[in-house]
Amino acid sequence: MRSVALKGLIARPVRTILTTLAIVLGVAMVSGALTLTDTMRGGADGLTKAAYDGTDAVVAGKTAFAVDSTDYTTKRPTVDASLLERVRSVPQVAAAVGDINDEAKIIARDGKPAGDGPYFGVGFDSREKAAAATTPFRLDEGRWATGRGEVVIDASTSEKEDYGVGSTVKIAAHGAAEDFKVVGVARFGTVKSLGVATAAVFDLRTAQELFGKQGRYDSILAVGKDGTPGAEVRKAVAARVGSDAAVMTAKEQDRFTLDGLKMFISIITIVLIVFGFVAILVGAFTIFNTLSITVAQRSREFGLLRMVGAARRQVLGSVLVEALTIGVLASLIGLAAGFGIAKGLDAVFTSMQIDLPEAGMVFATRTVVVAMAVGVLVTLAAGLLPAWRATRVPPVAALRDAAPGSEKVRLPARFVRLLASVIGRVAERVGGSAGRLARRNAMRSPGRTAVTASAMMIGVALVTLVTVVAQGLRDSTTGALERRVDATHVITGADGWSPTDVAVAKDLASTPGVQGVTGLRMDGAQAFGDKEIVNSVDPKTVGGLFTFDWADGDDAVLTHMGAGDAIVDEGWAKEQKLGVGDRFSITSPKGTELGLTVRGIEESPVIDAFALGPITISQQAFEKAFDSRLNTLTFVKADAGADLSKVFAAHPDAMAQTKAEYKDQTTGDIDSLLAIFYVLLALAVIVSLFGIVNTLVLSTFERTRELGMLRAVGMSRRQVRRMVRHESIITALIGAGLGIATGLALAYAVTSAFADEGLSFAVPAGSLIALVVVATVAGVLAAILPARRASRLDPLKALAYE
Amino acid sequence: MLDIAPALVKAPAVAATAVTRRYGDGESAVDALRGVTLEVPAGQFTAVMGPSGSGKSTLMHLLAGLDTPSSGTVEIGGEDITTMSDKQLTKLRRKHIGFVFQQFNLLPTLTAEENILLPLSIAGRKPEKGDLEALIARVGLEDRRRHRPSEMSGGQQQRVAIARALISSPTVLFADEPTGNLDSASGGEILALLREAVELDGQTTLMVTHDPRAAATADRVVFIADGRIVADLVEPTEADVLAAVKEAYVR
Repeated sequence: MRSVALKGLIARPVRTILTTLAIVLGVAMVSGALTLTDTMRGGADGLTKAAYDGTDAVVAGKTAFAVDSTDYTTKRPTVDASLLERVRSVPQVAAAVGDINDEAKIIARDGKPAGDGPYFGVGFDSREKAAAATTPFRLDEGRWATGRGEVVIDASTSEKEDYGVGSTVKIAAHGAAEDFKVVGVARFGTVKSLGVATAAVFDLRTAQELFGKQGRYDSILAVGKDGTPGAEVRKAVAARVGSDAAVMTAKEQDRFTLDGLKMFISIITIVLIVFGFVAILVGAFTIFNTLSITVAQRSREFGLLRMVGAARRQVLGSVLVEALTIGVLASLIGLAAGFGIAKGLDAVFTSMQIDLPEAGMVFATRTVVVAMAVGVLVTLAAGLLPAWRATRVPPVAALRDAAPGSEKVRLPARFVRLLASVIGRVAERVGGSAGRLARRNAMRSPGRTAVTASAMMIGVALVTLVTVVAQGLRDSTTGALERRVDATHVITGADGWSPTDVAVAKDLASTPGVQGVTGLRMDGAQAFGDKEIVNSVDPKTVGGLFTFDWADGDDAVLTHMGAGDAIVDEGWAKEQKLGVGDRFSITSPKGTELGLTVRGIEESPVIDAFALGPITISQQAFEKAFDSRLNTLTFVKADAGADLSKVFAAHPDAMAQTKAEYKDQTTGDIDSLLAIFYVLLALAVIVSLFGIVNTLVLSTFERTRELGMLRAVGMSRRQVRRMVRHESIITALIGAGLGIATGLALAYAVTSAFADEGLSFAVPAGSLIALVVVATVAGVLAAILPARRASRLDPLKALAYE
Repeated sequence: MLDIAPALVKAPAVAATAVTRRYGDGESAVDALRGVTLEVPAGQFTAVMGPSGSGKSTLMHLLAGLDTPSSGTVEIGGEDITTMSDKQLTKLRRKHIGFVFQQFNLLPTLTAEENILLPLSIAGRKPEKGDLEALIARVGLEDRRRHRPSEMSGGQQQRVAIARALISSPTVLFADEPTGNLDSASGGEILALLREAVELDGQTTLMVTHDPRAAATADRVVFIADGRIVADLVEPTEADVLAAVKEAYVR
C-alpha cells in the first residue's frame, strides 16, 4: 500500500519536483540562515577569545548602573592613573597595564574617514609586558608606536588605502585631524580588521593627550600570576581598589563591542528565518493544492483501492506517505541548498569587507533538526485535508468516469469565481475564443484557483503592507524634519551618523555668514530603574534652529530651560505617569544624580527622525552629570554665501549636509531597509509561482481529453498556449488583487493604530501598479512550461487518453 | 464473523430480497429498482442483462455493497451487508468480493504482477506459495509480469484485472461489462477465463453484460427491465438469449 504512494511519486517526476521545490526554498532559507549565523557566531566567538582571553581582570570606572558595550550612547567614566600602582601591588597580579580605548578616525585618501565604524582609537604601552598579553592586536609588520606623531593602523585599512609603514596619515581624534607616521600594521587576532571597523593604535601617553585623558585611563588590564584562577585575581583586585572602581572580566567590559557584532548576527538570523517561514507557508499552499488536485484526479484510483479492500485508514496513510516523502525529500534538498545559500551570503559579506575569521562552516545538529522538522511537519499538515478527502472517495468511484470539478463550491471560492469572471472579461476581449476558454477554466474549479491565488496573495499582501507602512514612515519622517528643523545645514560625522567633537560647532560659530549653531548631545542615564537615553539642548542657541512637536508646552520652554528643567516625550511620560510640573530624577553612569522638573511634553513619533531619547535636559545640567563632549547632531543656520568648507578641512571626520540632503539621507535609510524586505519577499512570490505552474500542469493533465478535442476541432497550438497563459495571468492577478486588498487593509490597521504618533496612511499608487505588472509577468512566466506541454499534445493520443 | 467456508454453507453466495432503490425524492424521484429478489447459488455463473437504464448496474452495485438499497436486504455468504459499517464493508471486500471492470482500472504506476498482488498487499497478506504462479500461468501473462498497463493490450490488461480479482479467492466475483472495451477475440479469451474459474474453482460469478454471446457462456441469464426481473433463463443458448433480449427490449 505504501509502495503505491511512492510509485505514484516516481511515476510523475515533474509533478513531484515542482511540488517539492516550493518547500525546498523555504527549508533552504531556514537552514541557510542558521548555518550562516552559526558560522558567523563561531567567528565572533573566536574574536572574543583572541581579544579578551589574556586578561584576567579589568578595572574600570564605576557606573551607577549596569552599562553594556552595545548601548553606544552610554559612556563609562575613566579611572585615575594612580590606581595602576595599587593594582600592580596585588600579590595575585603578575602584571597590569593602563588602557585607553576611545574613538579616532583614520582619514582615507578621499579625505573622508576610512571604514564605517566603530573607529577604535587605542592607547598601547609597548614597554609593559602585560600590554602584549592583554591586547588583541598583533603586529604584521613594523613596530609599535612609541611617541607622539606615531601610529599603528589595522591591516585592512592599510591595505585598502595603501597606507604602508612609513606613510603619513591624518587621524581625527577629538578636535582637528593631525598627521601621524605609520610605524606598524597590526591585525585584530587573526583577521585584518573587525568588519568595517578601523583601528589606530597609539602610544599610551599620546592617546591620553589626544583624547584629553591626561592622568587617567579608560581601564586597567591585569594579568594574574600563572595558575591563579581569574576569579581569584578579580576578587583580590576588587579588595584592593575598594569603592574607587569596578572590577570585571574583559568580556563583561567588552571594550571592542563584540557583543554588538553578536547582536547584528542575531538580527540577521531572525530576519532570514522569518522569511524562511513565509516561504514555507507559501510552499504549504502549493503542497496543499497539488495534493488536493491529485486526490481529485485519482478518485477512480482511490475507489479502486477501496474496492479491492483498502480501509479508509490505508487510503489516508497512502496520501500522507506521499506528503511525508515530499516533505523529507524537500527538506533534505533544502538543507543542502541552505548550505549553498550560507556560503553565498558569506561570500557577499566578505565582498562587503565584513571579514570574519575563517572558522569553517558550522553545520550544527540543531540546523538539521529544525530544518527537517519544519519542512516535514508543514508538508504533512498541508497534506492532512487532501488525505482526509481521499478517504471520503467511495469505492463506487472506481466505476465512474473521473469527474472532478463537481466538488461543492464554498463561499470564498464563489468570490474567487466572481473575480475570475471579471478579470477574465479582459482575457476574453484580448484572446478571442482562447481567452474565453481561459476565463471558463479559471472559473470552473474556483476552489483550486482560490488556493493557487492565495499563495501569491500572501507575498503580495506582505509587499503591500511593507510598502504602505514604509511610505507612512517616510512621510512622517520628512514631516518631522520640515517642522522641527529650521536650519540650513545639519552636521554629523562623515559617515552620516556618528557624533562630532564640540570643537566643530565652536569653529562653525565663528565662521563669517553663520547666524546660529546649536548642538544636541546624548548619553545614557538611569531613570525609574531603567536605562534611558538623555539628550541635551543648549537653551541659549537652540531657539529658531530646532524644536519639538509639542504635546504640552511651547518653544519658550525650550529657550528658557534651566539646569533643573526637563522635557520628556509623551509615551514615556504616560508610562511614568509624569505631567508638567512633576519632579523626577536621573542618575548618570558616573553616579551624579540630577533632580528634574517636567516643563514640557513632546509628541513621540513611531520612528524618531533624530533617534533622540525620551528625556531632554539643558546642556548646563548635562555637562555636570555626563562626560560626553560630542555633539550627536549640530544644526547650523548660515547665509547662502557662507563658506563652511574651511571648518571641514580641519575636521575631515565631520560633514555638513543641507537640510534637503539630510532629509534624503534619513529617508534613504528607510529605503535601504525596504530593499532588504523586497528581496526577501520576492522569494515568497517565486515560491507562489511554483504553485501556479504546478496547478496549471495538473489542470492540463486533467483536461488532456478536452485539449485533444479542441485540437481535433481546429484549435491551433498557439491558441492552446494562449488559453493556458491567460488562465495563468487571471490566477496571478486574482492573487495580486486579493494581496493588495489584504495588504492595504493590514496597512490601514497598522497606520491607524499609530496615527497619534504621526504615522499616516497613503496609497502608493505607483508601487501598486508595479506590483500588478509584476504579477502579470509572473503569470506569463508560470504558464511557459504548462502551455508548452498542453500545445504539444497529439490530438489522437489525447482522445485515447483516459 | 464473515469467516465462512462456502462449501459448508447451504445459503446462496449472494441473495437479494425485495430490493428497491429510489434516487432523489419528491416528483423528481427515480425508481431504479422496484422490488428485485434474486439468489445466486454458490458456484453458479450468472449473467445479468438489460437495456440501458433498466437498473442492472444499480442491482450489481447493491449486490456488491457499493450502494445501499432503499428497502429490502442483500446477503453475501449469509450475512446481511446492508447494515454494515464502512469498516465491515472493507473487511467484506477483502475476503469475499472480487471485481472486474469494463475500463480495467489498473494502477498505471504498478506492474502487472504488482497490480495482481494489490488486494493482498492492501490486506497485509502474502500470496500462498505457487498460487500467484498458477494464476499468472492461467491468465497467460508469464512474459508480461513486469510490464506496466500502458505497455499492454486491452485484452492483457483485462486478464491482469481478472487475476487481481481471483487472487483472494472471493466468495463472489462481480464483472461489470468485462468485454465491453475489447475486440471479439480478446473478449472471447476473457469469457473463457471466467468460465474456467467457474469450472475449476467453483467460483461464484455475477456478470453484467450487453453482449448476448457473453451472456450465453453463463449458467443462467437474468433479464432486467424497468427495475424488475422480467426473465430468468437456465443454461440458455445464444439463440435463447437473443430471443429473450428481443422480448425484454421490446417491452
